Amino acid sequence: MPEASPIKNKKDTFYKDMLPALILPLIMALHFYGKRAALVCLVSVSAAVISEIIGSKLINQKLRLYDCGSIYIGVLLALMLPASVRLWIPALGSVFAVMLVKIPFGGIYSSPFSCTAAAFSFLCICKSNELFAYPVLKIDSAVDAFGSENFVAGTSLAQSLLQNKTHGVTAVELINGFIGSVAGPMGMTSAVVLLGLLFYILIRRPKSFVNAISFIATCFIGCVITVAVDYGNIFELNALRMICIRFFSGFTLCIGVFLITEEPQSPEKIIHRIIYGCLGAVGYLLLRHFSIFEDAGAFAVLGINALWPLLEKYIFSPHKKENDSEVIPLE
Amino acid sequence: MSSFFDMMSAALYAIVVQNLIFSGGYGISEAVRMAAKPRRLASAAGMIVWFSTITSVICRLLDFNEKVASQNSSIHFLIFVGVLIFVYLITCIFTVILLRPNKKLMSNFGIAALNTLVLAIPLINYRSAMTLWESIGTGFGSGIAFVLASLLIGAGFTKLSKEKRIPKAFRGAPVMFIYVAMLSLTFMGISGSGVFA
Amino acid sequence: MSDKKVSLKKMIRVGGYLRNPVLVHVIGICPVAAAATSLFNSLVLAGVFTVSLIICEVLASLIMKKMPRWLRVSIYVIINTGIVFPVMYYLEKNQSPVFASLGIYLPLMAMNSFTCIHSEKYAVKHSVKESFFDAIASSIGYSAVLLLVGIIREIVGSGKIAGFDIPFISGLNGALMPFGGLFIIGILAALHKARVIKNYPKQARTIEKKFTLDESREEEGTFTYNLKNRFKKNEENF
Repeated sequence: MPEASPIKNKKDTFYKDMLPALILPLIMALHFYGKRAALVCLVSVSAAVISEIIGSKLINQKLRLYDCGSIYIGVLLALMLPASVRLWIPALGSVFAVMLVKIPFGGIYSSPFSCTAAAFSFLCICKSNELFAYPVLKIDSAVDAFGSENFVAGTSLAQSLLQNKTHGVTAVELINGFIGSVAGPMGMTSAVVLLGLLFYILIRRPKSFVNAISFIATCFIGCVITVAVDYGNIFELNALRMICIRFFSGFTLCIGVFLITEEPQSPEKIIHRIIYGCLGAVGYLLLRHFSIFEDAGAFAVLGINALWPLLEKYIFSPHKKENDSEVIPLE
Repeated sequence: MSSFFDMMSAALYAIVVQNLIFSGGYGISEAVRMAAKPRRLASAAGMIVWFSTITSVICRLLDFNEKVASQNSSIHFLIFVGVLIFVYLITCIFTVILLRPNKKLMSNFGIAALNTLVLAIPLINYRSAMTLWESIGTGFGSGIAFVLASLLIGAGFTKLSKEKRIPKAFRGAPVMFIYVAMLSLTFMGISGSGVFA
Repeated sequence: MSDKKVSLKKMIRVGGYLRNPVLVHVIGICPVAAAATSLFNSLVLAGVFTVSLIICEVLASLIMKKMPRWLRVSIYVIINTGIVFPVMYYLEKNQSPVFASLGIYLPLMAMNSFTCIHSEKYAVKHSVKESFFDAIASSIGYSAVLLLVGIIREIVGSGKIAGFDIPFISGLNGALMPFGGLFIIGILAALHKARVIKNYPKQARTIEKKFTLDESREEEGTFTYNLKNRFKKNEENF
């Protein structure tokens, strides 16, 4: 049986299109964390590419580096991690994503789960204390690795929320948070950059923009509702401040821009994409409240990836006729 | 009212927070098998709920007796298995006498009653010192968790079966294992650990 | 029942390797995925499984053929309980760390679906000798997977082997979770399948390894190979 093309059709070049979108967050990471950010990114990408080469050889399959999937996984995973993370952790995550989530399902375009979200979730289970230990931002000096003598942990906006220390977050710190000059994941703290990337997605991948905007809008509405419940009047200064903190903290924008938009797991129709984005956001908000992890956004993405085929089978396309016997043949 | 909430929260815990099938691995083989038979899923789930809830309730009531409660976990295991077999045999005898069912229904009883998920419920209830209402809730939750697991696995596999790009070595059982592993990883998002750890 | 001579070696090759119960038939996954987290755990589980399967299959073939199926199934559970209970009692009495590590998975071996399915599909339809050989072959296959998964998970998850620390290896507790076990089983299943396709291409084509989800054929809709036909058609090919 001839090997099927890795790309379903000529339009399916999602990862090639989205790779340039990672440039700006990468520049922000390099600006804030310097050489350490570059090193983490390099290790992550190298591990992903080497895993792809080894994995393809093991299963006697043609190398598919041109789909840019491995590079995308490596860069995005690195940008979601703290700059102080020990180098073997992003390497482990990349190897997991490529060897166990990408290759077994036949490539990144056929994987039913987001590879990057799967890698981050796996690292959360294994090393959650290190994954959320963000270093204090020191632009003029090098970042120390987690566990080293000079490592000093900073407090991200999400941690301030969890520890109920948001009264200490001033307007200046909020603006810093909006720009990205705050402790957090290496490349995903700058809200202005991530929101700006929505325009890139709108131009380059308009269908994926629907996913992103549904997710982000639902998250924003969720934040407003929770603040309204806590504060009553949402137009008060404290309430507005709280909405900003809740909305801009964690991985909200990262998931909205990069993870929920992934084309292989997204539905076809626009209305389904809206529902997909909204459900993903609801799952994310619930997990933020109930999960033991500081931010379980990656799990929410996996959850909607797992749930969508079920909804599609029984609710959205229940009468769709399949072949008489759906078989995975041996050859 | 608080008993009702205890029951509901225990059920919710068993379905979502620490899903018995994905977070604990109980009854995975049966869930996979039932994923290929969605029309029989409702009856299988109903039987699982019946057997696990009744067994949990009887075992919990027996624990009110001091002599039983003072025994170690090995003796409790014997008691739980004994109760389960008793419930299974009584159900089978009544079904055979009253309903005169076909062979398929009787074989379904065996699968539904005598699997790891059903015995796991009273064992978990005992180890976690659950109240009677929580035990009932866990019993109900087990059936719903089983249905959810089978539906998720079945839907995912329907999608995978259309995928021709899966490598030869992974087609069939291997990719199914990886898919179920991913579902299990997803359910770790809330508790981050195995069942009732 | 087959009139042809059945050799143990052939049965081990077919029942234990080519049609491994875990990697091919996807039966009895719970202990492997959730409980096999160390070498000692796997040894205990493998021992319990082997003894219970042999006794169940021999007794099923010897005296249980005429019983109704719903009654036979409960007897298998009673036999398994009779084997699990003394092991559990002994380990608990000696406060063995293996007992604490296995948790409720050791008592759950009484409900192992493989024993029940195998005894029903094979033992009640074959002679005592064939059932005994089949039990040996299946036990070897199942135990091999248990031990392999246990060793890998102990090394990767705890950074130890047989309780001894391995230098320079930091444990990943993800490997000790059920999803870690399932990933490892998936990789082993893929390696196994690749080897079977390479070394036994004729048999690999003969074995109907199809995963059908055709709801109109629900009676046959199953992820596992049809055990009824396992030895009927293919003995001459091996």
